[in-house]
Amino acid sequence: MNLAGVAPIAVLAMLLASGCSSGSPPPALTITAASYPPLGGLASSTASVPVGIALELLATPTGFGSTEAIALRVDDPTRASISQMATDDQFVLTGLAPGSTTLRGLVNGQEVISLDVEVPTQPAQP
Amino acid sequence: MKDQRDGVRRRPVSTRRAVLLLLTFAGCDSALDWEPDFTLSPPSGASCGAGWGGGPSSVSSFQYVCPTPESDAGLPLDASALDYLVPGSDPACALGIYLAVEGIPTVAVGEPFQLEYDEAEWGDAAAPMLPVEPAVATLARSSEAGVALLQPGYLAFFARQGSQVFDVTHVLARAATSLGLLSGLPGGPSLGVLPDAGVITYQATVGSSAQLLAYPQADDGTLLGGAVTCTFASSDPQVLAVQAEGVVAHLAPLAAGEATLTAACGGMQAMAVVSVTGTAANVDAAAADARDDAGTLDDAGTPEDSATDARTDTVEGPDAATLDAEVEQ
Repeated sequence: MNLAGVAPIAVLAMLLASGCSSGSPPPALTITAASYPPLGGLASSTASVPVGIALELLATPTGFGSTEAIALRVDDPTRASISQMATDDQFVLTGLAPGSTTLRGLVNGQEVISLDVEVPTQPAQP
Repeated sequence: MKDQRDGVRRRPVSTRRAVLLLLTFAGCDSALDWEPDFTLSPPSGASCGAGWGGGPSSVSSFQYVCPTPESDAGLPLDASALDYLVPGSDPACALGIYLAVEGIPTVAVGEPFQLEYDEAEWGDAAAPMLPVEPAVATLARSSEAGVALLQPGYLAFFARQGSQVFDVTHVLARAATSLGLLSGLPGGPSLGVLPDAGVITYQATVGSSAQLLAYPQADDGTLLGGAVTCTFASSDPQVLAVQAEGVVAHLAPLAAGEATLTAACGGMQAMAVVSVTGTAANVDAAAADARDDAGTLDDAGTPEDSATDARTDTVEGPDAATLDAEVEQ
């Protein structure tokens, strides 16, 4: 069997499948809530994590290659903290002190998303 | 000193019994209106049941570790009463609620509790427990007794594996506003929730036995977990003998009359007036019952050196009042 003419077609197919066509979505990082804490949560562009509450997040990259390095950071670590969980795409956002900060998502060192983070005090218990 | 319980074969609290307990209590009082998401772990650290399934492993779970009973004093009671309450310093453990339901446990502000995380995978019973720490250290205080939350509200806890967070849960702390009493009424098959702090009255019969749980409660009657130190005292030990094991008091009505039982935990106090009726005939009947139940007891022994002995004394004669009147102060 002559494979000489097959290889270029396969390469083209791979390129198309990997998002190199003009119709593929741009590289992005989607952050979703992976837990349901008793207070707070994640809205479209804002996360609310009252002081003492921890919200698990799932960061899902799309449109990148197969070797993405995902990182989440907060601008003000005195307001909220972000910690890596057991898998590369799972993180936990914790409210530390009342105020606000920004959560930034990076893929391969490049910022691709940011979320406002509100850290309110917890409502008084009944 | 010999363990005075050696002679008593006790049945472990099973999940089924804990469920029965919950069913028994359901609707009785808001004291049980909480949402523990932990399984109960005995002092040895071994798990008593499948845990909360939110972790990375299908069997990984946070464990609420129950403190060892503070006292191993003799029990002047029918051994079957031990099925109701588990002695110790944590009322949540005494009820075994954590065995049966999932949710967020509610503890008293300032009272210590212990959490562990069981990382065990299927078939890997030797997996180590992961350390558990509060997500915000300034909102908790750690001691040998465990972690105490310093203010009302939720606090996240992390099970850590190295620098990574392996799993997350939350605990709710509420302020204790009064002391609740939960009693196993003599002669009745179920436990009843006694009214809020204040004096309550109930009837007891000579020769019967009962247990009473004292627990800190929130203003809506919610039972609050966490280890507390309690004392129990009888105003007339010859009428009502009391022995304390942490938050659980073992009551033995010994003679007709009236006695006031005072429970005190963490600066809060509640009282129960116990009206004891009956005569020695009741005692004889109780002794007969005890003989019938002898299959659950290992050692009838002599009166001087065991829990079973104290129990035997209680049902045999009035002198037992002085033997059983060791009230924790």
